[in-house]
Amino acid sequence: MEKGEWVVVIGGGSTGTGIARDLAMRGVPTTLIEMEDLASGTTGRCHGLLHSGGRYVVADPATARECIEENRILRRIAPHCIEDTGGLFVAVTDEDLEYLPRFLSACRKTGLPAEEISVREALAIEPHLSPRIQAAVRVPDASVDPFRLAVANAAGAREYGAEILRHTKVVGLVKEGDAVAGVRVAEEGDGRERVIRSRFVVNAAGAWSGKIAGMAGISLELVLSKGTLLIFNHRIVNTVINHCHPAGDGDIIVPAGTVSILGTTSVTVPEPDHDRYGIEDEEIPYLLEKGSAMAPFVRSARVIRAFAGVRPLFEGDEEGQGHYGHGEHREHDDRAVSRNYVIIDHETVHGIKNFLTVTGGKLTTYRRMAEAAADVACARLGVAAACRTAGEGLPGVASTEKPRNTFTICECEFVPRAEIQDRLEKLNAADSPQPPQALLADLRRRTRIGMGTCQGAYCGYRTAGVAHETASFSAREANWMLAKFLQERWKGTRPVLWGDQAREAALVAHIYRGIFNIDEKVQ
Amino acid sequence: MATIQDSETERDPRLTSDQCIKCQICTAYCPVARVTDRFPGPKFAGPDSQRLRFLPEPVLDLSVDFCINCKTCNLVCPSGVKPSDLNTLARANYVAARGQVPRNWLLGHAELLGRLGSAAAPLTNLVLRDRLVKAIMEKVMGISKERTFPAYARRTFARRFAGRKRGRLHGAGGDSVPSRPRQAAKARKVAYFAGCFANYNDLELGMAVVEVLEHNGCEVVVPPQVCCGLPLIANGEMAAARKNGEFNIKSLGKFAAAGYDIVFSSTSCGLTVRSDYQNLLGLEGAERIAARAYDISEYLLLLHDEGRLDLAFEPGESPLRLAYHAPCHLKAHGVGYPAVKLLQLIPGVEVTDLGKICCGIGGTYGFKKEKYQISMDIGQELFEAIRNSGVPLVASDCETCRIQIEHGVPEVHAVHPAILLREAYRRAEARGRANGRSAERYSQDKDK
Ligand SMILES: Cc1cc2nc3c(=O)[nH]c(=O)nc-3n(C[C@H](O)[C@H](O)[C@H](O)COP(=O)(O)OP(=O)(O)OC[C@H]3O[C@@H](n4cnc5c(N)ncnc54)[C@H](O)[C@@H]3O)c2cc1C
Ligand code: SF4
Ligand code: SF4
Repeated sequence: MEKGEWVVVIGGGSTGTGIARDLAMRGVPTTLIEMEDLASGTTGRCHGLLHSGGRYVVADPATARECIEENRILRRIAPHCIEDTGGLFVAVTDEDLEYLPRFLSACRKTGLPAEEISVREALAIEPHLSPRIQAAVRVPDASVDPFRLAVANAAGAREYGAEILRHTKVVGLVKEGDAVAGVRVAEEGDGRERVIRSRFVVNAAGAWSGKIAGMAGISLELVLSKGTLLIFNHRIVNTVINHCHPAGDGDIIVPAGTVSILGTTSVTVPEPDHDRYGIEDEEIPYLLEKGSAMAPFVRSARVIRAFAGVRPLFEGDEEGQGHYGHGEHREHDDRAVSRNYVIIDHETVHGIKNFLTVTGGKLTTYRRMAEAAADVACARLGVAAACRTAGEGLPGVASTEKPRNTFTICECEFVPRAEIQDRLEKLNAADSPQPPQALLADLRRRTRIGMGTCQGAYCGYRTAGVAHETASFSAREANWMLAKFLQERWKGTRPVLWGDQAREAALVAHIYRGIFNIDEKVQ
Repeated sequence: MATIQDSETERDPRLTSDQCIKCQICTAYCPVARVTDRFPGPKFAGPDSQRLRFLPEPVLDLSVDFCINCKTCNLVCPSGVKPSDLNTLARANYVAARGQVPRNWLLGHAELLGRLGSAAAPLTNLVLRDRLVKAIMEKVMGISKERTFPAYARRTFARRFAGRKRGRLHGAGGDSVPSRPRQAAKARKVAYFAGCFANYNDLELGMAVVEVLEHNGCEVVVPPQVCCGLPLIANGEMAAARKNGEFNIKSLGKFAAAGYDIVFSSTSCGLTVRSDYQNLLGLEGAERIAARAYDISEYLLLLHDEGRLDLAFEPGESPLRLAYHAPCHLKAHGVGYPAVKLLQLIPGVEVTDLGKICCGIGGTYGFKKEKYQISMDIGQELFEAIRNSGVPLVASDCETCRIQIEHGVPEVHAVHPAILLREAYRRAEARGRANGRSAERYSQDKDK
């Protein structure tokens, strides 16, 4: 039987790649289909916090327990995707101090290791913390690289025989009577459509899962909640900083690689596509104000970019939906809707066979979601093999020893030419053709080019040059990928155009428009 | 211009890295990046790498060790970034984490070398010039055998000055704040910071500075002083440098408080006290000294602006053609090229500014075996310019620049501008005496 004829997984985020690997490890031939790139959806637009569970421990202890359990497992199986930064919950106001005992007792009950440290010690660890903080609690939060995590899961799935189709969009479901029998896909390049038949389809399209379900005539009640985040030019903190209060906006700062990220907001949006929603002007000062309660330095530190991701929040809680959520429900408060995942076996709920939707959840709990979803699929397929993902480490993504003495292409993120060439080769050898216009963005997710201070100004043209020189992309294609890349980088710079970033952007504009004559027109 | 304008940047110079807009201007001007791939340039080694150095386990990259510490990047950066300072701090972190190598310890403690060197002079000079000794020093210590240490004098400048002035020795040798000014109330009072080179090697320079200042009616004292600490900073010994800085601030501070101006004849010592004490070492009280600190040529030009400089220079026999090399650290003072203006005041002197970036010596840098070639490659442009100009004499304010110039172009002689000024004054005095005698005679004749 061909690979696709067993299971098709839709969505190349943490959930989809996790499911593909889980199924492949159980010996189930699997095809993963992603319309853009791995981690190009919410996964690559999240905060990158490997939750300890502290954020949920008071309001939703069950979720908190899942977080701490998965936190421990991921540290074991994906150490190369995680930086053990540790986390701090800091109490700033008197209300925070009232919340503190509830927080500590909930941590105790949930088995979440939380240790109160002195304010002086907290300030010594993180000098940019507000001198006004009144208490600090240490928890095992960590920082996780979502791009690496998704790419590692996909690579792991591929090692077990799964097929990974990127830049391939599911445009319809193949239905036979009351059963789903495959998917209709279109390739990003020429848009040519073809059918991939399968015995089972897993809808792991995250915020898009309502659209996929719609293709089977099923309506899912998803609230799409956009969260905006700000990236600072350097590590203003080296520990995850949480505001010790009931979960709110702008109350977490996560150190990530060379940068740190403050977030988030929560604004309901009608569409999940990132070119369909923008970042509102007022979100930026709002985040800075919220963040400055914990660390006043955020107001003066350089912000290089703003970005946003969309959470699919599940509202429907009808009997028998197979709803695994634990949260309380309150009207008109995005955050009160469960942050936990739902798995809907459409045969039980809607009478449509061979079709399953898994959505919601967190990056932190992706493995558990994947396990639960794969369990359901395997039961339907009559596969008895059990999940093994908690025990087996993910393949090392950073297998390329960064060779010294090759020309540094990205000077902000220290990416040598050899690493870029290596990644280029891998993308060219992938299961699906690499669309040239997406190449730089795809390389960015794998190498961090363009993610530093200059936002692609120098690595962009250098990488396009390497692609032209070594990987048979034409000069026209190289121009095209560069223009696309710059446009996409510009999108995130635009909301934060003040101070040094505005000066930087002016320089970049002068270079590209003035010297290279690259404009929107280049195609 | 910069966005970080709160007290955070002032507390932590590393935060200037946030202001970098990656324009590469600094790299275009960096003398080292031009000649070698072993140094990636100020942008990369400075603000770019600084982002990694904020990590809890910072990346320790020794490429910063190839920074020559010329501070050109600080000067040309349009964004207020101080790549040179970032490099220096990174080098210090490296030394703190990995330990110091003996050679760099020794070069850092240049003052100790000076003390021992002059104690045993002239034996030291003979030994240090011995080819076998040099070969051994290169093998064992990593000090280039191509280099010759400057000769050490038997007496220090401080002693010679004290002897001449009948003054008492005090502390590390030097004057105390006089209770009564020796000169007219309006005279400028100068506390002279000679620096190790004038103190241990080039006593004539120290004496010339004093003579020129006194000639122009300044009251000159030499306060107790220790090495400014620059060789220590450049070799990653921040704690030792801080100690020296504290001593000097305390000592010079007393004079500054008593209305003395602090004058330096070494551009690098001056820059260290004026700028690094505050910006790099964060020493308390540094700003009070900085406010009264001057390079000697800058100071003399100031006297000229006030109409106090004696312009009765006497030209030499024949017109003097000389070239001028501006040291990087002088440029970092941000005071222009005062020496050129001063020298042009001497009749018959024709000064050409060589206009080249860097001589390549970088203080102790060029003495290191692995950096000798880089040092000479950087200097090449300057050497050629000197040769092409055909002058026998090069004036430059910095002692190690002069060492490098004479090393690279052995047929020329390099001097500090103050030496030339003193000669012109001496010639004038000599003529004055001669004229005076004839004038006396004339009046006597008339009386008859
Ligand atoms: C602002 C924000 C911050 C967050 N921060 C954290 C955090 O710090 N820690 C944490 O644990 N969790 C966090 N989360 C939650 C976490 O990001 C998500 O739960 C998780 O990434 C969801 O992954 P996913 O694979 O389900 O969805 P996605 O990553 O969105 O994957 C779905 C994929 O499906 C693809 N797709 C859609 N339609 C089609 C189609 N027709 N054909 C083919 N492919 C299709 C999309 O391109 C997309 O790549 C955050 C979420 C948001 C919004
Ligand atoms: S101080 Fe001089 S050598 Fe060092 S990086 Fe700056 S310009 Fe280059
Ligand atoms: S440090 Fe200054 S000169 Fe150098 S690249 Fe940055 S902004 Fe430009």
